[in-house]
Amino acid sequence: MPEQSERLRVEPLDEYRWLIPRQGRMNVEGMIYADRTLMEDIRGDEAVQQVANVACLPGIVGRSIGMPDIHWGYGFAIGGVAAFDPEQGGVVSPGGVGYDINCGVRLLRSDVSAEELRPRLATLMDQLYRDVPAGVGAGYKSAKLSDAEVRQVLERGAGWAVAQGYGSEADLEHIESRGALPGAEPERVGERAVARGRDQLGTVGSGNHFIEVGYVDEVFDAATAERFGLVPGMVTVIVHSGSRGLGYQVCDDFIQVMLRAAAKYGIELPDRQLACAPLDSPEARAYVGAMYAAANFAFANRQVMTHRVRDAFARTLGRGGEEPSLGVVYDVAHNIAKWEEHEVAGERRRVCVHRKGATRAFPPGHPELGAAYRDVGQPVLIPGDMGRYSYVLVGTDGAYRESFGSTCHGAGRKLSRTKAKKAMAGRDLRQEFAERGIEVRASSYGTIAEEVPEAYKDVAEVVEVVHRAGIGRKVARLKPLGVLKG
Amino acid sequence: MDEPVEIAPGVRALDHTADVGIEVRAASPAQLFHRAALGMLALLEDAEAAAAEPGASAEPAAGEAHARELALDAEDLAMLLVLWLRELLYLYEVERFRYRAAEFARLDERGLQARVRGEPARAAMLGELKAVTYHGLAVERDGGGWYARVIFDV
Repeated sequence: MPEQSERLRVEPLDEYRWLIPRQGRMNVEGMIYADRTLMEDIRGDEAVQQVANVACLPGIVGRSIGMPDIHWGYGFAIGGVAAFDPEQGGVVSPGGVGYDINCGVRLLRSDVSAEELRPRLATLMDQLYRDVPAGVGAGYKSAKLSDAEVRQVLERGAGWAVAQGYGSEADLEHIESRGALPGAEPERVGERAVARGRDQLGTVGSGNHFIEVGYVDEVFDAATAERFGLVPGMVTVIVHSGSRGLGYQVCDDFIQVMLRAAAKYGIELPDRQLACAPLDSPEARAYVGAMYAAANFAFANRQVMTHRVRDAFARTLGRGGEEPSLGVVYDVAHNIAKWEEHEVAGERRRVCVHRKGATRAFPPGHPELGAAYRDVGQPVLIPGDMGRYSYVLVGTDGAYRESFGSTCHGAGRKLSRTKAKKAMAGRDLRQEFAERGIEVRASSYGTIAEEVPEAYKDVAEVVEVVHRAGIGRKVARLKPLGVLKG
Repeated sequence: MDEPVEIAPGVRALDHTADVGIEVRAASPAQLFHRAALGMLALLEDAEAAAAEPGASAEPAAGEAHARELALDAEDLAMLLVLWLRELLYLYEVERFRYRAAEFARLDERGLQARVRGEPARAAMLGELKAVTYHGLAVERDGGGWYARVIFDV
C-alpha cells in the first residue's frame, strides 16, 4: 500500500482550502477544498497522499487538486483534478480518468408535479425497472449492436442515438460537448472492449450507478433555476451511468500500454496505477482517441436511457393522449480527460485536464457552452446518496481561475462496501426507504446495502464547501422519490 | 479494522473505501492463482457459489467439456496475477465461462501456460467488477507459503 498520509505536510490556506506544499518529488503544490470536518475524514484516508503522488507526474501545471468529496481511489484519488501541459513534458494517464470513462450525470425535468406523480410512483418505478435494463449478468442486457453500429456509436455519441430515434436534436444542445467528442478514434478501441459493451448500450450498470426520480425541493438562485427550467415541486430524473464494460476495458487495456510506455519514456511512477505517457507520444494519442470514443459511448448510453425513461413516463403518466414532457437540463461527464484552454501562470495554454470524480463547471460566457446556457453558465449536476438529496449548481469564474473549470461530483464514499453491508445487517432497507417515501427497485439487494446513504458523506456539506470557496454556486436542491439501481 | 471475512478457502475479503479486494494465502504459486480466481468468483457471485474448492489440479467434474489454453507473459508474479485474473474476468463476463480449476504447465515470474477448466456461468451476478487493478497489488512469499493482495474496481 502507499505511504501513510500523516507524513505529508498540509496547511490550511483559509476556511475551505488546504495546501499541500511541495515536498519530496512533487512538481507542483497540492490543494484540497474542504472544511475542517470533511478534512478530518479525508486525512483518515490515503487521498491526501494520492493528491501528492499526482503532483509528482511530469508536466503537471497549476496545482494537483482535491475536491471535498475526495476519497481513496486506485492511483489517482476519486475527486481529483490535474492538468498537464504537452510543452512541459505533460502526460495523460488512464488512471486519472478512471475505469468508467465518462461516467456522468444527466438531469431531466418534467412538467409533472410531485403531487401528481405520487399515486402512480410505484407503477412508474416498476415500469422503469422493466424498461431500463441493469445490464449486469445474463438476461438483463440490451440489444446486441453489430461492429458497424458500435463504430457509429463511438464516433457520433449521443448524436447516433438521436439519429436512431432516441430523443431529439434539442437534447444534444444540452449535453457537454453536444454528446460527441471530436477526435474520437473507434479503431483504437480493442475487440474485447467492443465485446464487453455491445449489449450494454442503454443499461445502468451496478455499483453506484442509478436512475433517480425526484423533485425540485428548494431553489437557492431563482433566476438561474428558471433558466435551467427547474420549478419547485416539479418532477426531475437523474441518470447516473457511464461507458459500461466498453469503457472499463479501454481503461484496462491502456493501463497495460501505459505501464510499458512509462518505462520506455523513463517516467518514474509512485504507484503503478499512475501509468502514463507523454501527451505527444503515439501511446498517448492512441489512448486519447480510444478514451474519447468510449466517452461517446457513454453519452449515447445516457441518451438511450433517457428515451426509455421518457417511454416509461408516457406509459405511466400519459394524460389522455398527451405525453408528459421530459427535457434535458444538462449532461456532464465526471470521469474524463479533455484538451482545454486555460490560463496557467498568466499565459493561455492548451492543457489536458483530467477530471476523475470531478465535474466541469464552466462560467458564463465560455465559448464551449451552447446558446442555451452561454450567458448564465454551465449547469453542474451533483448526485447525492439516493436517500437524502442531490444538487444543481452553476459554473463560476472562480472555478475557471482556480480549479481548471472544475468542481465536486457527488457525496464521496465514507464507509467501505463491506462496512456498509455490515452496518445494514438485520435492517429492512426496503422498509426504511419506504418510510422516507422513497420507492427502490434493484436487481440485487446486496447493491442497495453497499450504497445506503450512511455509506456516503453528506452531499450538502460537500456542496457547501464548493459554494463558499466559489468554485460552483448552488442553484437548486432535488429530493428523491424513487431510485432504480443496477 | 474489522475481522476480515473468509469468502473462499484461503481467501479473505479486504476492506477498501471505494473498491473491494482479496487477500489470498496458499502453499504454492499455482494454488495462489487458483484461490485468487475462486476469490474473484466469490465477489462476482453469491458467497456460497465459490465455497466448494475443487483443488488446483482437480479431476474435471463429470460432463465438464469446457477447457481453455491460456498463455500469458509478464514481468513479475504480481503483474502475472493481474493478467491471469483479468483474462478470467473477461471469459466470465463475455463468454460466460466460469473458472473451476487449472493445470499449470508453466508458472513463473515471466509468464504462465495453463489448461483452464470451467463450466457455463449460471449463478446470478452480485454486481460487476469493472477491472482488476494494480493498486496495492502484492504477491509475496509468506513463511513457507505465498501471499497475494488484489484490489478490484467495482
